[in-house]
Amino acid sequence: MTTSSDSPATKEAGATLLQRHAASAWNPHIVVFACNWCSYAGADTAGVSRIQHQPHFRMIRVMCSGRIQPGFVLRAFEKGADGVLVSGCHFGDCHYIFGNERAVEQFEKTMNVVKLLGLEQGRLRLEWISAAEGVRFAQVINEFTDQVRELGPSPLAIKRAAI
Amino acid sequence: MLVRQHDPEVEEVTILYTDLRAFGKGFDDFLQRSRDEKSATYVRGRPAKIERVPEDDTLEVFVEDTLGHQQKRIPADLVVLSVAAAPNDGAIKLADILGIETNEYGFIDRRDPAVSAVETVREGIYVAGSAVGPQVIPDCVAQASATAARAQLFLTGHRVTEEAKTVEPMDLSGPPRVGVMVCHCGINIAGVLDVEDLVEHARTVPDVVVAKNHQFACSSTGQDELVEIIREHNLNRIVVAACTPRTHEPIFRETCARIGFNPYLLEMVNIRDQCSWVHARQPAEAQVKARALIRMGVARARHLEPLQEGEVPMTQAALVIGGGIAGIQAATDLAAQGFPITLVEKEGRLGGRLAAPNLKYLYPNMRPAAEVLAAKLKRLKESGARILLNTEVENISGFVGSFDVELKGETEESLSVGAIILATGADLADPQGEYGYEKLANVVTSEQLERALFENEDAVIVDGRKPTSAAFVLCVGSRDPEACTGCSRYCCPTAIKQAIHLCRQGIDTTIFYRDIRTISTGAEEMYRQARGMGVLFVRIPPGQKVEVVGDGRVEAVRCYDDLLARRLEVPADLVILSVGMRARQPETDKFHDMLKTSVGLDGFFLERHPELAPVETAVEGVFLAGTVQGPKDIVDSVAQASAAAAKASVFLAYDKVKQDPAVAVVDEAKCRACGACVDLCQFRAPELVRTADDTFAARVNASLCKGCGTCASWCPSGAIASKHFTDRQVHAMIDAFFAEEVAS
Ligand SMILES: Cc1cc2nc3c(=O)[nH]c(=O)nc-3n(C[C@H](O)[C@H](O)[C@H](O)COP(=O)(O)OP(=O)(O)OC[C@H]3O[C@@H](n4cnc5c(N)ncnc54)[C@H](O)[C@@H]3O)c2cc1C
Ligand code: FES
Repeated sequence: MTTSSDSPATKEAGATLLQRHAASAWNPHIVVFACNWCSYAGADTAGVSRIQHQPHFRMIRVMCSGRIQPGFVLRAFEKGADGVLVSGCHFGDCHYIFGNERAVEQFEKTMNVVKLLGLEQGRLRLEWISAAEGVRFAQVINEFTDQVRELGPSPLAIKRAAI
Repeated sequence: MLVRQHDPEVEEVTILYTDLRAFGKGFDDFLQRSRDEKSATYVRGRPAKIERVPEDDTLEVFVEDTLGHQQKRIPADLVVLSVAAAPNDGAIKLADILGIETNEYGFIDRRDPAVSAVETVREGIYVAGSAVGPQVIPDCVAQASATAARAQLFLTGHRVTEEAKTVEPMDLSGPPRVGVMVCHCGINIAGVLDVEDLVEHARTVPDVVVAKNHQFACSSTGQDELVEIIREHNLNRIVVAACTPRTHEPIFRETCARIGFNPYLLEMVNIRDQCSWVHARQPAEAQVKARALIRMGVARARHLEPLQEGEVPMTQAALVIGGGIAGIQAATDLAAQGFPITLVEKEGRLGGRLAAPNLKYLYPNMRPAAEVLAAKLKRLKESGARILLNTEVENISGFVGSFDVELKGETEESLSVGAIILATGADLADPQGEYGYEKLANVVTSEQLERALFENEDAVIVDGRKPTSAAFVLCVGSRDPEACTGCSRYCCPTAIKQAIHLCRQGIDTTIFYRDIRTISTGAEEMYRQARGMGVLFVRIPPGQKVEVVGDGRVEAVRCYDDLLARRLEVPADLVILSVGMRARQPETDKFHDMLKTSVGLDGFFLERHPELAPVETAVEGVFLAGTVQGPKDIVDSVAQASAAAAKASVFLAYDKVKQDPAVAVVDEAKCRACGACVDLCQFRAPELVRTADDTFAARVNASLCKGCGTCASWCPSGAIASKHFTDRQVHAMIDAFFAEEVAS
């Protein structure tokens, strides 16, 4: 990764993001990967029950959390995500039996790369949410959003803003 | 709650009520949430009058709050009357024409309110929904499917097999030409999001040639318009921004297929369930999100590829697990249509809770349970279903079309079936020592009383004595928000039924209740009858419990009576705990493990959708019948069982079942034959094969692949593509999210 973080342009654009953060006018950009059968369904359940939660995330549906490869998460960070949530079925519930166990292994690999990139670990999270857990889905989203908001704009996003 | 969401300026919403009858699955949770969120204030009392306040032209509602014993004047800008459901104007005339009967209110009569889910008094004419009385949607939908099951019995032999559909596939090649349709969904979406703006935004996204809005995209006019714009603009990709693909993608895919537009070139964007419904309080942010979701949907659509559905053979036989009234009904309905059906029951008898010596008489008309069961068993015999008693399911593997089942019991055998109906019933809550249960000899559960009545219906004996006064405690183990247990539906009418029996024996009877929820046909009348007979109804205030007094035996029950506003002590030498239903264990865990059917927070199996698919599970080919899905009484269990049978027959009628083409595909040129995918896959779909140029490569057997995509993520050479969820499609979505956002 080339570091252009010392250039004046970067400093300025990054400073804007940071200023907005300081002024609480900043909201994080969060990508949520969800499996069709549990966590995506849990988000729908939150919808059916009108359980309100913070709107700063965008959902990407795949069939199973086992599909969520490190490349997806890293691309999200590279493009400017401040946080990424990987979600799937609880253990024992995976529609494809062990897909979520593979997801854990992929997640750990991804976390290692995230650390190497100098991003805070708190920007990446793994959660199991069942189709019935609409309330929990909303809680996880709110907690994670707050956590990422606390961390502020991702260093990669700040760099990107300058390009 | 909706008023509050749509208009945050509304300061206060008050609901006046007599009893809160939140009896459906999940309804009590909903009620609790409206309290937790302070969406509404509940006042128990009927309005005495409503007056206009001349000064500011508002209204004032006069009511006595019967809980706080206060006269209240509630200011209101708007008063909404929740009016009762009444029969249609034409109901009586229609009934006359059809030669069927209506009841005293003008609703259509069922043959027997205790068990006939859909039968009118006349053979061949069936009834569903609110024509028989006020109903909630899930019950209406189950009944509607049940009528289909009845009608099918007359259609045997005339079944339509495969409709030879030869729709010419449209030429969809060339660069992407994307059409976007944004749905208002009435005010569900348009009440929060600016649909016009979303349409405008969609027009700016690359490759979008047309963007339109529609009031209800899933309606027939919406579908017609979709077809029109596809044809008019020569589209080869279509994006529908509406509700969740989990319920509505099949509808839009079908429309696409009808005109030869490859259904896999359709993308759905969920701006309702996951946007307008959950971000109603932040409409500006919701708008930004919806715009991004549409961009992401279009980005994915641009990279979608047409896929061809495969077919796998369907074993045209079904397994029904559990031989209670629900299992009996489901097995009868399917077997009578000529499908080979196996009904397994773990006990040595059929009937479940209806089997002797459990229930004597059934509410509301006190028909003997034995008589009802005998009639059902006679039909079952005639249907030709194979019945296996003392048998349990050891294991199930496979998928819709070919489930492999291992049975263990009187016979040990393996079975192949195309569909499975779960009807293993429910357990009753254990009072766990509360109210002196198992400490005081004359404290029993409603189930134990029912048995005592079974043994001696004229002079019930409990603990060796004939009681002189009895007290029922309702909602034991039900309606506990901590445990997510809702209303068990059967306990109020059951307690009243039992109270009537005790009262007839000269026993002074009191029922301690939280809300009386007599919701089934005839139950309200039974409630009135019980009060007329002198059964005393005492309301337990919210958050309080009755106290059982006695040493070794109960002598009295104490409670604060909020209607009389004083403590009350009622003598009782028999206390009956009306216990709620609980998910049956270990069955629920066991079948959840084997079939991967989801379980709800209340512990019961989760239907695919409460209104749209109340008897289906998210697992294709697996259906729910009776109390296995949640507490209910016999007539509702029977309706659901017939509905499950009707839904299963849709699969069983064909000798093939469609196979999702969204599977994994290996690029043999990239594959280095490491075998990682072969080791990984639970379904044995990939195998190593010799290629044309005499090397090895993995190949995925499409009929075994379930399309989870795990192997595609895992493949170290990037040789596996997970169709319909390709790297390129996912990357395009990520890029589109940030396309114009990060800068801002
Ligand atoms: C005290 C009491 C009084 C009631 N009174 C009335 C009334 O008057 N009117 C009314 O409408 N309703 C009444 N009900 C409710 C009514 O009994 C139920 O709604 C109905 O019987 C439920 O039927 P079901 O088939 O879903 O379950 P069940 O009757 O419980 O049947 C489930 C069957 O599955 C079998 N099974 C379980 N696990 C397995 C397995 N692993 N393999 C194979 N088989 C298995 C069980 O042995 C059982 O036979 C009453 C209930 C109670 C408790
Ligand atoms: S299907 Fe949800 S994790 Fe596999």
